[in-house]
Amino acid sequence: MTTTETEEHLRLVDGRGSVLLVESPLAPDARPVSPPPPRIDVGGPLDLAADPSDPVVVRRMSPRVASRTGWTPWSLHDGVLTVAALASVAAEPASLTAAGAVARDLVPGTEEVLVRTVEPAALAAALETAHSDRLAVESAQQLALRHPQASAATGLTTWQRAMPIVAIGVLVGFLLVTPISTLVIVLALANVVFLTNVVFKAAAALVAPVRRYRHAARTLKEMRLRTEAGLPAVWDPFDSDDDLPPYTVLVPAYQEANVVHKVIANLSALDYPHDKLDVMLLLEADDEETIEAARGLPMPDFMRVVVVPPGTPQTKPRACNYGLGLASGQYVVIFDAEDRPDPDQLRKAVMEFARDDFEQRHGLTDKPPLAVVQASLHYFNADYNVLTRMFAVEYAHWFEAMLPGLSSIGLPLPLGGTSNHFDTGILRAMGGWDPYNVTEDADAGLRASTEGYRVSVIDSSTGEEACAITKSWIKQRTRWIKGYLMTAAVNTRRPVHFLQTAGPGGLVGLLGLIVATPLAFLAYPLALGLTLTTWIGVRFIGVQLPSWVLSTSVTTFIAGNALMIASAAAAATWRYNWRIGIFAVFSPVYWLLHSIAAWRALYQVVVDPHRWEKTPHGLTHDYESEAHVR
Amino acid sequence: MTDVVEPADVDTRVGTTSAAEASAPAAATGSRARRVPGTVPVFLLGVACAAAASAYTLHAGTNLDYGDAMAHLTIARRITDNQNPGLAQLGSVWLPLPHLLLLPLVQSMWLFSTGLAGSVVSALCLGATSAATWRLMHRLGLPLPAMLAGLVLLLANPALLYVSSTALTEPVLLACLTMTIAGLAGWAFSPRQLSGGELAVFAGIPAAAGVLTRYEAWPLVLAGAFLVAVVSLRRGRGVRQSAVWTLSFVVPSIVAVLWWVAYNQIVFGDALEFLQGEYSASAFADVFEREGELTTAGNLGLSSKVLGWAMLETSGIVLLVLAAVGLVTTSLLWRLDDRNLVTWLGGSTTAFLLFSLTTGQHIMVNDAAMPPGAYNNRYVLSALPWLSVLAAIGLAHVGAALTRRRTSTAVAAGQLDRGRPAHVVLLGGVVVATVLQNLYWLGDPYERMTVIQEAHVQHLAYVDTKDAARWLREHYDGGGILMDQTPDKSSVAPVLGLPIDEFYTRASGAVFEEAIADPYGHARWVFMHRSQVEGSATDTGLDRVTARLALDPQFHARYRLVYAVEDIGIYRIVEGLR
Repeated sequence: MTTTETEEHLRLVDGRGSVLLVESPLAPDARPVSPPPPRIDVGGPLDLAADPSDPVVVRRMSPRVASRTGWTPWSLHDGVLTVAALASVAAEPASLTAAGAVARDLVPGTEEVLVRTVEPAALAAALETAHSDRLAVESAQQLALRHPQASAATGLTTWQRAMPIVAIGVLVGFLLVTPISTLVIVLALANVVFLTNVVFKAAAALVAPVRRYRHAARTLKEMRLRTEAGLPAVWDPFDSDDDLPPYTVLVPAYQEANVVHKVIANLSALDYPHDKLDVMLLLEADDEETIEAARGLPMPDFMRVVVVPPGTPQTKPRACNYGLGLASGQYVVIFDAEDRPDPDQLRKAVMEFARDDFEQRHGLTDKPPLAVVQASLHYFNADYNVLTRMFAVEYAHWFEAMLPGLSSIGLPLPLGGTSNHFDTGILRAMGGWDPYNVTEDADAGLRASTEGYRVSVIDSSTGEEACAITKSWIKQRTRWIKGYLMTAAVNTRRPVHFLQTAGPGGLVGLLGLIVATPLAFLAYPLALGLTLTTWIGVRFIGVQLPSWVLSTSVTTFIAGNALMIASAAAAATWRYNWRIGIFAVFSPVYWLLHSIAAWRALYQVVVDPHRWEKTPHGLTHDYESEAHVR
Repeated sequence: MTDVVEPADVDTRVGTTSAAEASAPAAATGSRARRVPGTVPVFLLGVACAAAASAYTLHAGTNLDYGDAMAHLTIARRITDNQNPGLAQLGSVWLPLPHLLLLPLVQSMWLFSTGLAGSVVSALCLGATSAATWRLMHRLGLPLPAMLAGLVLLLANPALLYVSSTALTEPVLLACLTMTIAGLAGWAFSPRQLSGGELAVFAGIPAAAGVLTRYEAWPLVLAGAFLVAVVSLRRGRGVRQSAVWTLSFVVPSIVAVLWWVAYNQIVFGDALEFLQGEYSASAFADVFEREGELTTAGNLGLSSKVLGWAMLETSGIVLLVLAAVGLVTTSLLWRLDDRNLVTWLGGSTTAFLLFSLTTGQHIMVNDAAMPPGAYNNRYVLSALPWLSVLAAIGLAHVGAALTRRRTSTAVAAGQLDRGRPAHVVLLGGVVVATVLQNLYWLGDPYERMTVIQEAHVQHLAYVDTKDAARWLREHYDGGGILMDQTPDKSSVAPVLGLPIDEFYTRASGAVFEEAIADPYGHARWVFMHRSQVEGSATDTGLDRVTARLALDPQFHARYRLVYAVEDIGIYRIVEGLR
C-alpha cells in the first residue's frame, strides 16, 4: 500500500480516533439518508464456507462497532443485504430492527435485509479477516501521521542526533586544554545528575505512605457519611454484574509457545463476567510456533487468537494497536501471557473510572479526566536467584512507593509494561500506542498527561515473571532505557510547547524521571569511578582535585546510595518480606548493570532507535516463590 | 518445632541429588522449602547468651581484660575521633572488618569506654554463629535432638561466651566461618540448584567478610572453592559450569584481598605491609624467635601438642570426645560424600593454625608449650562450631545405630532421624556432661580454661596502666595529651574515656612529631614511661616520648609529675611557664 493509500485509509478515522462509522474510499459518496424501514427477514445459520463475505460490504462497518453490537453487514446480492448476527441479536426484535435500519443505511443498494445467525468466534474471525489490511496500516502509522511530533517514528532530530557527538567532542577538547577543570566539572555534573534523580525518587517514595494514609482516611470518612445517610457503606454504581461495561484484554505474545498456555488459567481467574470479557491473544503472523501452540489450546469463549499481519515495525505496541482496532470493550488493558492479575483487578479499575466519571459529571473534582489506571506489578519468582530478587526490590520501590507518590502529587506517571487499564475511547483519541517507541507504556502515560488527561494507580497487583538471566535482563533494560531516552527526545523536540501543554508538573516529571533516569545510569559509573579516580589520580599521578569536589562527591555518592537502598529495602520488605528487602544492599552493584544497559541504549538510540530486543519468558519454568504472598 | 528432615529428603542427599531435582515438584523447590525452621529463635538465643555473658563481664569489669579488645575499640574510634581521622587509621596490624563493624557503635563514648560496643557486635555475631551452625546441622539432615545437642555444646562454652562479651575479633570470624559453611551447605543440598549469584551472596560474601576479619578464613576460601568444584563436577554439570560456580564463590574473597592489598599500597606504600610491616604478625614472631621462644617453629610434634592442649582447655573433654566420635562415624559412614566434605570444611582453620604454628607464622603459648604461659590460645575457638557439629553428627549416628541395630543399612544410608528416643536420651546425657564440664572449669577458671587464663594474665599486665588511665580520666581538665603508643598503653583509650582527638600519638600523623619536638605548645599532659621500655615484643615498643623527654631538664622544669605507678608517669604542664 502506498503512502497516499495509507493516508486515504486513515482519513476514515474521525477526530477522536474512533472508527465507528466511516466513509469508504471505494464509495465516497455513500451517506446515510432517510429511506423507509427495510424489510427484515431472519434466516438460518450462516454457512461461512458456502456464503463467503464481501470484503467491501463488511468494511462498511467498523470492527469495533460490529464486535460490540454483535452483527456486521456480510454480502449484498440483488438488493438483499445479508447480515451476520449473533443469535442473541437475531432473537431480540428491537435489536433486529435497529440492526436492519443501520445496515441498510450503511450499504447502498440495500432493499431487503436478511439476518442470519453466526457463532461469536466465527463473527470475530470474519471481522478480523475483513479488516486486517486497514488495521495493520493504522496500527503502525496512525500516530505517526496524525501526531508526528508525538511519535518516535522519525527517531532523533538532527540536533538531537548530533548532540552526543558534539558533547563528546567538547569534552575531549576541554580535557586536552584544561584536564583538571574538566574533570572537576564532569564529576560535579555526574553527581548532580545522580543526586537529583535520587532525591526525586526518594521524595516520591516518601509521599507514598502519606497517600495511603490519606486514602484510607478518606475512604473511612466516606463510609461513615454514607452510613449516616442510610446508604450502603461502599459506593457501587453497578446494581449487578449485568451493568458492568465490556472489557477488552490484550495479550501480546511473540515467540512464547512455552508460556502461551498459561493465558487460559491466568485470565480465567479474573472475577469479571466472562460475557463482558474479550480477551485477544495477539500473535505475530511469522510466529508460527506460538500460533500453532495457541490454536491447539482449549480456549474458552471469551478468548480468541488474533494474528497480527506482517508489518513494520514489528513491535508489541503495533500488535496492541491492532488489537485496539478490534476492541469492543469500554476499557482495555494489556497483560503478558504469564501475567497473573489479582482476580478483582478489572472491577477495581472499572470502579476507579466510574468514580472519576461521577465526580466529573457532578463537578466534584477539578482534576483532569481519568484516562488510565495502573495496577502495581510484582514477581511471582522473586527469590529465584539474585537477579530476580534485585528486580523485585526495584519493582517494589517503583510500584509500591514511587508511582503512588508521583500520582498523589499529580505528576505524570510513566506506565508499566502491563496492567495499565485505559479508557478505550481516550486511548483511541490519543492515537493508541506509539509503535515506534520501545517503551510505549511510559510514552503513553506521559502523552496522556500532555493531552490533558490524568493517570492514576489502583490498589491491585499483577504477578509477573522476573527475567532471571543477566544477559536477557540487560537487553530488556536496554530497551526500557532506550525507550525513556526516545520518550525524552520526542517530548523535547519542542520544549516550549511541551511546557505549555504539560505544565510545570509535567516538566518536573519529564526531567525528574524520564530524562534523569537514563542520565543517572549513564552518570553512575562516572560517580562510582570517583573513588578510583581520586585514589589513583591523587596518589599516583598527582592530580590535585579541589577538596570540595571530593567531599561533596563522596557525600553525594554515599548519601544517595544509602537513601535509595533504605527506601527500596523498606518498599520491598513491605511488599514481599525482609528476605527480599535485604537484597537492596546490593543495589549499587545492580545499578552497574543498569549502567551497562544505559550505555547500550544510548548507542542504539543513535544507530538503531527502533530495535526491539525481545525479553524471553518462561526462563524460570514453574518456579513458585511464596515471597509475594502477603 | 517440626523441623525433622523427612527420610526422603535425606535420601536425596546421598548422591542422588540430580535425579531428585529432576523429579521434584515445583512446589517443593519454592522459597519456603529452603527455609530452616528455628533459625530466628536460635539467633535470638545466641544473642541472649552473649548478652547475659556481657552483663556478667561488664559487672565484673573483665570485658576489657584483653589488650587486643581495647585496641580494636580504639582503632575503630580513631577513624573518626582523631587529629588525623580517616580510613588509614585502620592500619595493617589487623584486618579491617571488625573495626568497621565497631565504627558506628564507638561513636558513643559510653559504648566505647565501657566496651559495650564490642559486646553488641560480638553478641550479634554469636547469634549469627548459632543460627548458621543450626542451619548447617539441619542441612546435613541431623535430627532435632542432635541439633539441640550441638547447640548446647556451642553455647554453653564459657570461653566462647567470654570472648562474645568483648571486642575481640574471634566472634566476627566465627560468624563469617559458620555462615560461609552453612551457605555452601545450602548450595550443595538445595533441592533446587541455586545460582552462582546466590552462591556468591550466601557463601561467597560471608567468606569475603571472613577474609577481611582474620587470616584463618583465607584457607577456608580455598577449601570452599575445592568443595564447590568437586560437588559441581559430581553433578555432571561440566567443567565450564563448575568453573562458573567456583568463581562465583571465590570472586568476593578475591575482591576483598585485592582491596586489602590496594589499601596497603595506597596507605603505606607497600602492598604487603600487612605481611612484612613493623606491626605485622611476622615482625612479632621474629622477636619471639630472636628470644628463643618460638619453639613450635619447625616442630610439628610440639605444634600439635600445643594446639591440642589449647583445644582441650578451650573446648573441654566432653566436646572433644563427642567430636571424635562424629569424625570417626562420618568417615566410616559418609566417606567422601558431599555431607562429609561440607563437614570437614570446618576443620580448615584448625589445619591452618597447625600449619602456621609449625612454620613459625604465629605463636601460641600454654602449659604444653616451651616455655609455658598463656598467650593466643583463643585462636582455637575457631574450631568450636566445627567440633559441635561433629559431636552432633556423632550423636545422630550413635542414636540411630542404637535404635536400629537390626537395620544398620538404614544408618549407612543416612536415615539419622530414625533414632529419636535414643537421640533424646543422648541429648540429656550431653546436657549433664556439659554441666559437669562447666562445673569443673568454674572450679579454677584461671588454671583450667586457657582463654580465661590469658585474659587474666593480660589484666594483670595492664593494671598499672589502667590505674593511671583512670586517674587521668578523673583529673583531666582539658588540653592536649602527649602519649606514645607503646604496647602496654596504646590500647587504654577506652579506659581513659577521653576524646582521642585530644591525644598526640603516632596515629595523629605529623602533629605527633611536632608535639614531641614542642610539647609545651601542644600538650598540657604527658603520659609516658619514666624510663625507657625494655624487652618489648617488637622494635616498635620503644616509647618515643620517653626517649625525647625523660632526660630533658627543660621538660622536667616545665612539667610536673602528678601521678606515678611503677614506671608509668603522668605529667602536667606547670601553668604560667608556657
